[in-house]
Amino acid sequence: MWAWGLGRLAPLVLAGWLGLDLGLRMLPVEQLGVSPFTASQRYAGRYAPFRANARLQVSEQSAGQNALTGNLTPTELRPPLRFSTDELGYRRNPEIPRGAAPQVLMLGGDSFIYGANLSDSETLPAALTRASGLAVYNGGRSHTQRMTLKDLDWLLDQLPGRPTTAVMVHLEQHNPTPEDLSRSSPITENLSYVHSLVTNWWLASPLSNATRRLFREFADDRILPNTYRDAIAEYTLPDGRPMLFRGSETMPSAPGVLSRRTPKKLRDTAEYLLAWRDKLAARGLTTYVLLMPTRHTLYGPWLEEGESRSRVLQAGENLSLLAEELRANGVPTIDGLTVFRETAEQDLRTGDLPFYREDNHWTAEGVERMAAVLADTLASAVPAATTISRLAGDSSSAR
Amino acid sequence: MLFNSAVFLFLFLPITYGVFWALSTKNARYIWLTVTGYVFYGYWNPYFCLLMLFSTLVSYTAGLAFLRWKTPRQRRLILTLPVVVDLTLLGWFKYADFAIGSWNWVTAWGGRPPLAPLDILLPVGISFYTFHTITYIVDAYRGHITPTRNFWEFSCYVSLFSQLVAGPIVRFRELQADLEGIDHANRRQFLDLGWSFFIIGMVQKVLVADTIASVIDPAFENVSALSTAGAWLSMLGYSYQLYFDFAGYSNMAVGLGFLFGMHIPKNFDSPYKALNPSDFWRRWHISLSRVLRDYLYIPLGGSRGGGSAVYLNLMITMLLGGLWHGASWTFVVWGGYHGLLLCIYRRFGSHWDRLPEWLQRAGTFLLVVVGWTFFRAVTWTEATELLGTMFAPVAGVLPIGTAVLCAMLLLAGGIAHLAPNSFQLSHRWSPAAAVGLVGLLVLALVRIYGADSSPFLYFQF
Repeated sequence: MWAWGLGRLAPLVLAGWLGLDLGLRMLPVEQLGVSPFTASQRYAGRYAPFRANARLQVSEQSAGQNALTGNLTPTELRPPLRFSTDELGYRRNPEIPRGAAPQVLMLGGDSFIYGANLSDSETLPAALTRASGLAVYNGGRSHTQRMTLKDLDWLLDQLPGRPTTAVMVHLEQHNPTPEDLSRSSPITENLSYVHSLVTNWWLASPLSNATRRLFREFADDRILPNTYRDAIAEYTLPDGRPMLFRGSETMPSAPGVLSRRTPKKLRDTAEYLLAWRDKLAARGLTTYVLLMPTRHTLYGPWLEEGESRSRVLQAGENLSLLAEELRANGVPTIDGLTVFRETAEQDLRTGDLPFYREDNHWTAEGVERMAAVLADTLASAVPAATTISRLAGDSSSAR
Repeated sequence: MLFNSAVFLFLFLPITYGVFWALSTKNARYIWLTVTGYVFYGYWNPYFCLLMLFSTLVSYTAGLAFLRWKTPRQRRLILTLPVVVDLTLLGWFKYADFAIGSWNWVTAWGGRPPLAPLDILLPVGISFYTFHTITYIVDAYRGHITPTRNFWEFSCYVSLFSQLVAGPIVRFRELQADLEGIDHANRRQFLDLGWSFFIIGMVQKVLVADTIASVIDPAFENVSALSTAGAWLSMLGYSYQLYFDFAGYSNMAVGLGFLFGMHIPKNFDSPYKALNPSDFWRRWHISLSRVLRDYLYIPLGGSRGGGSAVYLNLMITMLLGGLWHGASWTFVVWGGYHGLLLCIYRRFGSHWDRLPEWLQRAGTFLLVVVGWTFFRAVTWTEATELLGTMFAPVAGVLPIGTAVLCAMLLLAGGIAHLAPNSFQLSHRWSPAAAVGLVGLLVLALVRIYGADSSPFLYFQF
């Protein structure tokens, strides 16, 4: 038998492939097709969502995630963006000076709050700072590493001053996760941290990205069927351009899911948010809740017909009931559905939307609109004497 | 965990392999293979490890009991109890909702309210390891094997990762010699052979079966839109997909067995070269055919006596064999269809055997392809619609990617009908051929990284 048989050659090839994969991960992966958010989740601190002091600049225009997921030709490109984090590993709000004590802590809300597909200055906390003059700290984290009570305590200890107000953002599609509020054992915490380190590191693979892109090139409905399209629901707006929704957006009004959103389920969600309110109050923070609908719940009444439309309306109704329940329990609540639905029909007619058409997130304009509403709500609650305009230092130096 | 996944190739396999050969004693290797088997299985759902452990403990205890109690009555009890326990577990997890659905269908005629389904999650591979444990108990009862007193040896046999979730259904007696001599295994002896089998299996699964699947799966989602040509192309595609998927898994299992010094038996012997239905079942999923023959058909009476009893035995065996594949009436019909083919061949085989050989092969293949419609279809309606489209010319569409499908059919057909199978190859590759094979392995890696790993079709059984 040949001395260099498959017994040696095959393991060598596998080792070579693994070496290539690992080697590419050592390079600046955000320049190799990995999103800056995924890239900066690697090496995140124990209690932080991102790597501390990350400065990532993505110069290319990129397609919306839903277009990428469905392997569809993008018709909408997002502008280049800048992603940076502070020394604690949270997304930086460039509108507040370094070292300034935050007055408002914004948390929950996942990518809507840390600002996926937005530059630092376009995120909701930054826009709120501009609109209100309040120093707003961006406590947003990815949905894969939600904030726990331990994370919150660590953050509050590290901040230069304790905020007096918290804005808790709850996304419609999320189920309550009470375990975030319970204390886990050190062993569980350590295991969980190691798991997130490994997972985040593993997910940021330029080689995997490149091969996926290559593979999707063939799945173009000519050479091979585009099976990725099944993950996306596509609608055509009056201007003839598409609007793409992913499963998590259409899920709240899906038949099986909607029927499970019983009054008890809504109460569970309210209780979960009220429990957060109590925990935050015990730490000296007054809580405001912002409820964010999915784009499908928001625009569905004009996109769907018949039974589907009824379900979408019911999903919206459920969100309103949740808001009422929270208000009845003394929590000031902003219903994002009310905020955006005022202009939804016109948005669809003109095609000028506060959300991306091919991504589930909001645009900078959408953020500004919500920031204005939030600023009005907070204006009477947070003492004007401590607003950002009176803070020492030049905020522009921090940008 | 899937063989065609990065976590298996780059983490599980190197660690399992490295530690296995670093250990020297028999028990250490048994324990290591047991632990890795549970990790392999638990990677999907750790809770179901408890189920496998329970099944292992029951069968192991039965083995010990056979060593201790010798009277026929005691032995019958030792046989019956654990087999009933194993079959009850299998029945509960695999067939409870099927039974409820069937009951609802029947009682709907009388206007009775339907029972709510239990929505039981089917543990991957339960059909396979249940058969592993049952064959062990029955073989011990029959005196074909001496049950092992070593718990780790037995648990290693049940949870051996290479054949755990989709077979082959390896009987204890087929692996016993390798297990007994596990501490004397020579790492280098079967190294090239093992990798050769493994790469061939990987290429069959990832490059051939999965490529065909990427065209036909979307086509099957809308069967009513297919034209007659489209339906035939899709069914031919499925026939080759199923073969290369399962034979690919089996080859990988055999290759992995060699890497750990074990001989996993052949599970496919070029089934699409079969001359008749009987020959097909000697070549397709051989390990299952043997189990059905030795533990069901022969105990039922087999071919003894002749006459209608044999036909009845054949039908019972094939109907239950069909049901083993899945909790659906379409699988039962598929089993019944093959039972019918076997009966007809038994009755009229002498006429069939006088046909030219090429015609026998082509005819058998055609009959098998028709049978796969019941196997592939999710519902009875879909199966009949598919058959209707295949045999009554209708206009419609071809699957998207027909050019790729045709190319793959030519390639797959050439290999399946004309080429030697992996057990007929010498596996003594020239340097150029070896480089070609690892080149295909690289292509498979591109696909594994580029597309989501697709599970093996037989995992669902």
